[in-house]
Amino acid sequence: MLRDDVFFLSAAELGREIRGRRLSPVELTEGYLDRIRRHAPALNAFATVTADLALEQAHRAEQEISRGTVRGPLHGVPYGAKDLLATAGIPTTWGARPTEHQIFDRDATVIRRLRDAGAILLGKTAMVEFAGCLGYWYPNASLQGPGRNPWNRERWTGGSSSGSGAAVAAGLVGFAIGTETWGSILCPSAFCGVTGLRPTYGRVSRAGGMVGSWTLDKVGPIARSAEDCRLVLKAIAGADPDDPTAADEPVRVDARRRDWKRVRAALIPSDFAKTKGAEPEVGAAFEQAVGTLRAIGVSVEEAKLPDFPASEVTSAVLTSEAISTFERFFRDGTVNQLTDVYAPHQERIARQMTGADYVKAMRMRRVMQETMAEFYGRFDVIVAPNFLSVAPPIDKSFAESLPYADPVGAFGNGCGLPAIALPCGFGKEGMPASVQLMGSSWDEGLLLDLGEAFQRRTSFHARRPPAFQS
Amino acid sequence: MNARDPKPTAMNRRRFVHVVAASVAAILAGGVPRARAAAAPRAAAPKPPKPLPAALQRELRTQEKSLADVLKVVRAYDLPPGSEPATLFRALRARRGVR
Repeated sequence: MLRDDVFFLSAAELGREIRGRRLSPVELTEGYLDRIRRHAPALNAFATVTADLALEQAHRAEQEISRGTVRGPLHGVPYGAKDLLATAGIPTTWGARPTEHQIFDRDATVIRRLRDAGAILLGKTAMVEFAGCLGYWYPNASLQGPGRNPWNRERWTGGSSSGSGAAVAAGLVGFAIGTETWGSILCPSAFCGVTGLRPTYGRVSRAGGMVGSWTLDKVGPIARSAEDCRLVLKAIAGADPDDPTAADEPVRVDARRRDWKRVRAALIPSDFAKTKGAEPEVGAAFEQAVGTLRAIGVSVEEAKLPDFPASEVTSAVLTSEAISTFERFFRDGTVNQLTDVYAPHQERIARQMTGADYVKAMRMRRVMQETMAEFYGRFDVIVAPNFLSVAPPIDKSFAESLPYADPVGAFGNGCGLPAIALPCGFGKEGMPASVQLMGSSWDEGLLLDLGEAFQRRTSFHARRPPAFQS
Repeated sequence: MNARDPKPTAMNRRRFVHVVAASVAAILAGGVPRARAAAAPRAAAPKPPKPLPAALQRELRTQEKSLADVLKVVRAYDLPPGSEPATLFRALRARRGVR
């Protein structure tokens, strides 16, 4: 029987142990499945557990490795995939009642690439219904129930990749896959105290994934360290004939030695004292994180985001595309089966928006991209708090618990920029706090290098929720 | 049937008479299918939607206003005529050999 701390090793460490034949993929998979059986229901972390498939893949990995065939650093490492990625013959619920029994006959490209890399699919992780693209106002907006946070089950995991965040934090998987339209990787990473990478738009194929918004959706890893995010990104990134938006930009994300003094960071200040909902403990953790970046050698300079209505543009694009995406559910009335009481009314609300408004927003988006490209001519990375408060209580509306804006997220998602969420301390009731680093397009390599440097000097990413130690 | 039901017998009788009268009129007019339609249960008529709870209506008005505010900003933003959108339409090659 494996020691409990094995389940909290990073994917990189698990992979090293497996390749060194000190850890059996079968034993590891059985151990994770046992933990999922014991802990996942209390967290609403999984939509489907694929035990038979996982054990089959684990046996195959074990045989291959024992024969000396190593597929790569994730060979034999078990993971969970957000339940909006298609998996052949396995339900893909999109977290929503109307699509509860949906089964696809093909794997999403990301699932196929991870299988080719030798990773083991433990199951489909729970998510907010339709990834929240019709909006959601309460944590309970999910077919699988509200995502309960491993650090305190009465608090929310964040969304929409709720189960992916919870499963990584609780040691139920080696790593997980999440997706982000606006905030859905960074938010659960922040609230669950794990490391999440939102890649550049087009870096990872979305083929076989639920569409929330064609021009905003991204797929990326949620894991225990920046090093893990790098390994997963390398396995899943790259052009894909099945997704015309997946770019053929070279995937140069290998670790590099950097002269940190030459890296210029724009610190986007937040007023923790005056912003409604902001918590001073999170502010203190953020200050400490900025201190760590300075100690690494990064040149941190306070800066303002460009004067541009980024929130309005990104929000207009998202609303318009999501209403079109989910049109079928409005037409056949099944939108009324969603948990969120406001979702069925979104089409009517959106009728005030015209086609010209959408095109205008997309033209403004180009200006926003150019503005940010100029900004990144002066800076290499933006540093900002990921959230201004810790995970909110499970029963509160977001209007009440998360009343502040997300300007960095609006620019980042609107322009398709990559960002990494790094645990940076603890706030109220011992809940995790998080810092985000946002880079220019295709510059995940810098974010990962800086993330690793940050995590060599801090240990917040290695902390475990006390209730899930065993 | 409980005591608070408002005179169900009288209502039913009036309704019955109304339905029979409508049916006879339809048959006399030469349209049996129409007579059937007239005799169809009233439940087939669309029900007016139930009014939404006040709190829900209030929140929906807030959401409606929030989108209106977004659109106000988008519509007021000055762009040069003909400026590029963020995504470009591309022509698609013919699928030769498909026929």
